[in-house]
Amino acid sequence: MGATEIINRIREEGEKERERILNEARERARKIIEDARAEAESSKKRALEEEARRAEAEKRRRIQTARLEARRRRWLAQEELIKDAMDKAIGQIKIVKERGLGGHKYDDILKGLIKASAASAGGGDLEVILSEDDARLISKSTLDEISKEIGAHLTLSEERAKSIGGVIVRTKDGKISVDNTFEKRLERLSASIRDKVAEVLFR
Amino acid sequence: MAVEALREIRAAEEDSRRRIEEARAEAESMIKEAEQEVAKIAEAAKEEIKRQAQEIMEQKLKEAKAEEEKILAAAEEEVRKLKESASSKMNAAVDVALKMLLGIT
Repeated sequence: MGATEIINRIREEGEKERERILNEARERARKIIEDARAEAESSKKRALEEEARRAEAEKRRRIQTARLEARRRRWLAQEELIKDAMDKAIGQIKIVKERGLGGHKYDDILKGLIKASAASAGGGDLEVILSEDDARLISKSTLDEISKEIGAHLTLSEERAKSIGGVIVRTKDGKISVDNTFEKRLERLSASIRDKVAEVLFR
Repeated sequence: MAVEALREIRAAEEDSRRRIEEARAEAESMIKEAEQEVAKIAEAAKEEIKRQAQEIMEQKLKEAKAEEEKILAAAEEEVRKLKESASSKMNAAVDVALKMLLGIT
């Protein structure tokens, strides 16, 4: 083999090695970029799917909140109307005292309450406690009449109830007391009055 | 003559080694550039995700707002009708409450 031939072979082999190194690097670089693009695409897909789920959940949450708010507004309107009716009813007690209600005179209404309270107290010797205004409407003879009717002994107490009206009936020994003042009745019957009022207003 | 040939062979070898070294350096530079490109791709993807995610959320919130408005408008209308209907029944309701309060059955 001559010197020229050796030199050519050296150059040829060197060139081959150079090409191999560069080709390998090109391929590796291409692969790195290709993998990065694939990874970016896949992570983008995952992130956007997750975001779509999150956005959908947020949309549902906001709609649900709006539905609750709509229910709250309906409920508030109903409550307002019920309260209005109950306030008006309390406000009308004064008028009922003057004019009666549905053909019932107020003193008859009061008599009815005394009778019911006395019966609830279990009869016997009972004290009738009325407000200053109502005490003027109930005479001794009225109490005697009721006593006779229910088989009890009712007397008007000197004590006066601080109330817009109604009655408290108490046994003489003070062990049993039936409070039928309108404030107490409202407190006790509030739920059923509300139900009835709601039934009338919203049926 | 032989000395001259040997010198030329050594020069060729040296030249070949140098060219291979240059190729290695060039290869290393290619990989570095690829890695820089990877960082750019990742950054671009991050930006794109941010932009599209914002679009998705904005769209859903827009839909939600439209639905919310529809629900609340319907509720307002319902409340209006409820009040209108109840106003004609208010006297009867007051009467019922009053009778229960006064113990009139």
